[in-house]
Amino acid sequence: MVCEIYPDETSEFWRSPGVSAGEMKQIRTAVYRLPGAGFAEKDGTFVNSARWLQWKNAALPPPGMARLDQEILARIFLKVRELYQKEGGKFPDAILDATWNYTDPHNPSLAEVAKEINGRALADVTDEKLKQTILRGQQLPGFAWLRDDGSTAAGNWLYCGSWTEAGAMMQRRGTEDPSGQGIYANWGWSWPANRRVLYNRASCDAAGVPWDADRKQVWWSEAQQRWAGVDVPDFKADSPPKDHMGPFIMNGEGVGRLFAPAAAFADGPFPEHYEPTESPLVNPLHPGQSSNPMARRFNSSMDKLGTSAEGYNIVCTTFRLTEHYHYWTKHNPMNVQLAPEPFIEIPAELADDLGLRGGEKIKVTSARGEYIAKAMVTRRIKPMQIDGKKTYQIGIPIHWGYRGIAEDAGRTALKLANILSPAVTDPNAYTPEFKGFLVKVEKV
Amino acid sequence: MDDNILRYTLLERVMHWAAAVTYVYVLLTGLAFYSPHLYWIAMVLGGAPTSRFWHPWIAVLFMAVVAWMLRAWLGDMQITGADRAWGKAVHLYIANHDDGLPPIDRFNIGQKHFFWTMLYAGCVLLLSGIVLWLPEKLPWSLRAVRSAAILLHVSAALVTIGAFIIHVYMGTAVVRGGFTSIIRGEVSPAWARTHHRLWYYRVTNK
Amino acid sequence: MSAGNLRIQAISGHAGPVPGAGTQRQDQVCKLIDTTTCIGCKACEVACLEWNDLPFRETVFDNTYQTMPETAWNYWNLIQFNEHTAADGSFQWLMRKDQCMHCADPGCLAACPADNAIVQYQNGIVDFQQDYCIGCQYCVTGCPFNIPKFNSHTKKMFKCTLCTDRVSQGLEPACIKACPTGCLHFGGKEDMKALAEMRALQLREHTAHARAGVYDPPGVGGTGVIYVLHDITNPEAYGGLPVNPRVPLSVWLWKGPLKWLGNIAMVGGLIGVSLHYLRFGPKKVDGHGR
Repeated sequence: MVCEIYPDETSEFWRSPGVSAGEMKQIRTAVYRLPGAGFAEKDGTFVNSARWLQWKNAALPPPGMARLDQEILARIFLKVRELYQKEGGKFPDAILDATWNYTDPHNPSLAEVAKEINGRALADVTDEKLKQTILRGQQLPGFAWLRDDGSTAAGNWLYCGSWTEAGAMMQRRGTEDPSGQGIYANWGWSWPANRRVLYNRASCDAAGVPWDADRKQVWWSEAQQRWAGVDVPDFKADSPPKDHMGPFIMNGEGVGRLFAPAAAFADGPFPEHYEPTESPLVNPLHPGQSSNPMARRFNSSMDKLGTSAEGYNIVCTTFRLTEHYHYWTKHNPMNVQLAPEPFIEIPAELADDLGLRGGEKIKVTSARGEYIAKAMVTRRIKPMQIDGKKTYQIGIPIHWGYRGIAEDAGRTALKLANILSPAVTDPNAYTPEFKGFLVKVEKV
Repeated sequence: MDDNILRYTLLERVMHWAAAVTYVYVLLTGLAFYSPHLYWIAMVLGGAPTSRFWHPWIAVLFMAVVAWMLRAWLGDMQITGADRAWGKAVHLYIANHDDGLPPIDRFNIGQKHFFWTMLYAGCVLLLSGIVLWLPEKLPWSLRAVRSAAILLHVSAALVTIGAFIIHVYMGTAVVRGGFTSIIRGEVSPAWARTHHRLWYYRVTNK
Repeated sequence: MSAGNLRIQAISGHAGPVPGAGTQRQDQVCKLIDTTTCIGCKACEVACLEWNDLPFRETVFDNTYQTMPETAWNYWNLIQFNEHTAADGSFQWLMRKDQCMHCADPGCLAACPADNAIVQYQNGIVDFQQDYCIGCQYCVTGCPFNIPKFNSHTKKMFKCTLCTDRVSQGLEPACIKACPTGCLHFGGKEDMKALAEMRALQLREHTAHARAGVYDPPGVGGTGVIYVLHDITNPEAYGGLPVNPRVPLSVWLWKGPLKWLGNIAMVGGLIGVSLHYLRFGPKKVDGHGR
């Protein structure tokens, strides 16, 4: 089940290039592609990598039969619940007893959902220390109010405080920056607790005095016996400096680490240089173990690796263009106008070696598959001298696939760039190793 | 009159007036593009974009008629010894002392120069005009051709305008009977004897 | 900036004086393009298309990031990309936003025969008025930057308008609004020139670009669009920016001496034949019966 605004590769998998009619019949998966709404057609929040929640309003309604995500989900849920009521089914409690009292249950407003995520009191809740009571039905002001006894409910403790009784914190647009350090405490809402800089206690010395008097973020206030500042202290607010609580509160020992303790990471304890799993050279630090032994590898028949000895002696990387956004904009005439066809960046010297001119079609092959597109011959990529050998690198923008304006017009080879890259991932973050692998290049 | 001589056949008269009408249209629209003070002419002739559209087509038509004339009058327009002799005495012609002039054939040297001027200048106008008609076909690297075409087109046009002024003046104001001859086709024997004696003897077998 | 900016100081193909000519205005507008901070993202290309409702063209891959080889009737603003190897072997990927330069002495306006087809506002913006355009493309001959482009269906010429519709309402041009790096600036000519010179000085003093400078060509009287270039001695490296652009000599000859000669010849001819008639009269034929 796919909800999208364009025909995407996932929902087209069953008729991707190379799948014969016979093979299609063997596929046991039904594919539903529902018309969804684009980002400008939806309310809700964008959350950025600075952890800010910023509310946005829909700029225009979805076209034709396209529906908002929440409406699609709601209508599916209500239909499934109806079927459970009629026919029963496995584990009915979560479905039959789910709270679904939105004003429009078929199309819940995201404001109501956001308030749910923030969390509210289901019964009167009292904090003895603060001598405050939150009444039943009221929004919770922060995650410290969450209880494990069923008297509170929240969608995600991180967002507790984003929509309080004072209103939608993530809709704020205050541009005040009193400290001049770019800390806009009243612009949107930052998780958790509107804290803008994590571990900001570390900006002070052991006595709770900021290291740099010109850039104060938080500090210990003797008068109030609390940590105060232009930012929400990322610290136990009433822990005095003399108690020596460490600023790196997510580590048990409270301080930063120079090495990774066992069991914290799959590899370590110290940073080390490893070559990618497919590399043109052997790791000069330890030739016996060139790449990371803990890197996760998949073991299907497709997950082969190639070596220079087998002829894969050109380094390949994948990248993105300014003109396109992932696999979406190949469906948008404006973007297609700016960058109309797939291409492969080739260093000019490699092009000379191959007798290749710009615009000619080439085939790039890795141990896993092949990719065909026109060459962009460029002097911007110079050959590398590695271990005494001249090594070339090529670059492939990822943005083309099975469907799109150029694809549907028959102007591409309907290939995906990432058929070339290896399914090897970082042992901790699982980031795939798509940026450095080996290929061979030939004219078509 | 019974003893009138046919100077221009029907076909020749049609040729002439076709050329005249097309030339005048091209002249007027061309003048509109030549000078802002005369731009109103294009408005009167159906609007500026319309004039810009028709000017080259009518011009091609003009050149087609001129080509037709060339085929018909190639022989008649060759410049001979008799013409040169007449040319040396042209000051008499200008001052209307025609009796002192040596005899010439169907066309005098002025008329022949007029014909060749219009033909050659017309060719320059045609070639430069094609560049101005379809300049979008010319790449930026060949823009010098465009500049040259503009200058050649204007210069050649001015040459034809000068010739045209003289032609119309001579035919209407100076040479009485000339205008009638290109409408009705006939001239009197006296006219023929006076202005084109060799032609007169030739066509009357004298 | 107000609607007063739409007062006109020059009109193409116009007989007689232009009412707004010769008046002095302080607010000549200017777009400053700093090629040293352009990243070639093409937001300006897209903004121009969207603001002006220009339809898309089909493009093809041509071994470059440049969207198409030159501007078009429906593509008024184009980033020119050039992989440039300097004489000393150093390599730069140069990117220059190419569009109408809004010359103070516009060659297009000088060459145009059609009354009112091209106007120059008192704020310096040069604008085509398609209602009056006859599609003769003389403006292409007049322009040293290869800017005016022909629509073969409507037979009209088009180019960048410096967003005169936005500027007259106090807004900056669409390209400037869209630029994410701030390499495009908009303001009065003196302010932009000063800013450009400051930036060029900064480049010369603090970077390896010892020949950085400001491109504001005097041959066309200066322009409403100026560039900061890494190397002012080599503008042609920036996708063919002409070194010393001028209104072509042929246009000057044509609208100047040749026109005077022609007028004298024609009027002189008419006067001449009139005098001849007055002096000599028509020819008489003896025995000529009419």
